[in-house]
Amino acid sequence: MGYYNSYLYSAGGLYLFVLTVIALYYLLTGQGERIDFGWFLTNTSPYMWAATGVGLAVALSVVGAALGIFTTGVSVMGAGVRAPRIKTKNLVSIIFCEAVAIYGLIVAIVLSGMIDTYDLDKVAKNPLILDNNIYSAHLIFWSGVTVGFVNLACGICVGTVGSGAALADAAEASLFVRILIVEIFGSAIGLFGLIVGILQVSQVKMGNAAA
Amino acid sequence: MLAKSVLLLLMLLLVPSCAHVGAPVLLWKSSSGRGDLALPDLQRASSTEEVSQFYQFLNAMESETLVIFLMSELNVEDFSGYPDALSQLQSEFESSEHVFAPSMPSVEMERLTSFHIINVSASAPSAIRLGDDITKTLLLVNLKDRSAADRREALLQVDDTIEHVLEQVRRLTDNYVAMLTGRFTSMGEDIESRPSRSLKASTPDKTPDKPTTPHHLFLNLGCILLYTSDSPVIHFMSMKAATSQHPLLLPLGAPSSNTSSCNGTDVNSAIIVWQHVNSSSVDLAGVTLNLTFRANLTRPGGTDVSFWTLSEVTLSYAGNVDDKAISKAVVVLDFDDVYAPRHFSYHCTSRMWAAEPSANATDSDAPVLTAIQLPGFQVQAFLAKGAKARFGRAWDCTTFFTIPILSGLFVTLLMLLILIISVKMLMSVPTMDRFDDPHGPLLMAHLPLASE
Repeated sequence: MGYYNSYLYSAGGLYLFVLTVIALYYLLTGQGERIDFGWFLTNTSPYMWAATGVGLAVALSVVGAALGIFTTGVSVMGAGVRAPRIKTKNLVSIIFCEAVAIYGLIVAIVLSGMIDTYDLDKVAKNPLILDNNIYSAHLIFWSGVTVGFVNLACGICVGTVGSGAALADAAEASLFVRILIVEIFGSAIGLFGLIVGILQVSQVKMGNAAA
Repeated sequence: MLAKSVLLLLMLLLVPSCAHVGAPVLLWKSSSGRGDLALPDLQRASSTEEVSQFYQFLNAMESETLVIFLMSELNVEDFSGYPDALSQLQSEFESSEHVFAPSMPSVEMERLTSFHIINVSASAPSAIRLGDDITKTLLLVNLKDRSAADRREALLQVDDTIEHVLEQVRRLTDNYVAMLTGRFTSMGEDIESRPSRSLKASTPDKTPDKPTTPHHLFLNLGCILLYTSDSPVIHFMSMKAATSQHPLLLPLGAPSSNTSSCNGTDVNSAIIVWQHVNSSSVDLAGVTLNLTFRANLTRPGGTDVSFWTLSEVTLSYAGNVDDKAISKAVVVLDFDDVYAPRHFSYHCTSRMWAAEPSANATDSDAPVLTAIQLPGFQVQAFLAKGAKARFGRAWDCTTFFTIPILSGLFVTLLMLLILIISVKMLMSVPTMDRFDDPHGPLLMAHLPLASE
């Protein structure tokens, strides 16, 4: 059953090999200064960064929510066999996890609405347009990453707490409300990520009018 | 079996070498043409018999006028490679009956016996007159596409010429058949033996078969080496023209003189002069290219060069551009990207170097110099005195691993990470083996037989 490990190691190893060959090619032909991360950041397409940010925002949030629902759902189902009264009340935990996915969805929709194309002939007349587009694209990327990873953690957290809540509720009904408070705190951290993500993109100006 | 396959392979290898290289033929009749013109199926007209059938058809056709547009080079790929370049021609032949053969031997005028051949000058189509009513007229238009700078340029000019000539023909008769073909193709094995359309200065049509000398430019100026694989070409464009237009091109040949100044530790300069340069619409005297290289030293006040840049390039000229006289113009060109570490030469394949917009914009509509094109450009400065005149390693204007490659690697990394983590997670889901008992009885499921 561990055979897949060798495939994963091969894939990762091949990738690292390609990177090493590229780096060594530049170093050994005296062009070491061409390994230039700044050149990479300023010359890559802003659209790549922006679109990746949008994708990561929703994808990582959904992964977090999915892990949470998986953890909670299994516990609710298992404990529900012994104490069927907990079923309906503990759906609230699932909803908290779902909310994490919705945060990611909202941010992704907001970010994708900010993406706009620019024309190179307008950039030739006003280079500030390109600068602003690169700036905006990086903001969108890192906003997506921020929201994505925060929601990933939040989803796992809420899920684990929800699972505990289901099991505790099955044992004693009065414990549920108290553990729910813990879950609410866990959900709040997802909101922090949402707020920071929206704050990051408040200055985004993409498109031809960015100057 | 083996012998058969070897024979087949040999035949396949030999066939291309014995196939002749022909030019495409596009034949169409005027949209208001009378008579039922049964155009021949030229798709398979490659054998001698079918070619003679083609000439028989032309000699026997009902229309009194045949217009042949003869390019010096035409290829099937020109039709598909530049779809917008021949737009007027396309609307012309699509609105009427037309037929196309991708490869036909070059049209032989001697075989068109039933025609009275009139040579039409492409630049003066209004002088077209049809012959008498007894014999049929063949208007032969030789299209001078060899002097255009690139293929698209040539095809655009051809398109304009065809439209002008056909307008004149339509005034005289509305029943004509037109043909577009070439003397040669722009591809093929025999291209080395003849001058092909290129950036070379336009050679007159009367010597089409003489091979031209190579036009690369190599200058050894002591501390500076300069090379272009073909003549540099200057582009002129009129700033006042409202519609987009083709730039006027002026290929510079071999320079008449050059000087260089190698004494400064941090400045090297070169002056290259072309005394007389002219082309069909531009006539200049005293074209001077002034290059200044500046070195960044490893220590201020020292002598070690760490890298050099081409800091200033000016081009001055005087003469007639498109029949408008220019007394003396000095243009500063933007060569900011040209730099290389010491012992490296800078190399860039065929790039256009734009002129910086001038501070004093003149009101005249004389075309101004907009760019210079240096094909296969390679330059090196701050060579040691007495060193062999040899370029150092090339520091190319584009890196080997370009931005798209690196972007692709970045996105691949992201997706690889996602794949690795997700596969690890999926494979870590355990199966339900709580109630499994390897020593217990096997599970049996009795399934009823499927009934109709």
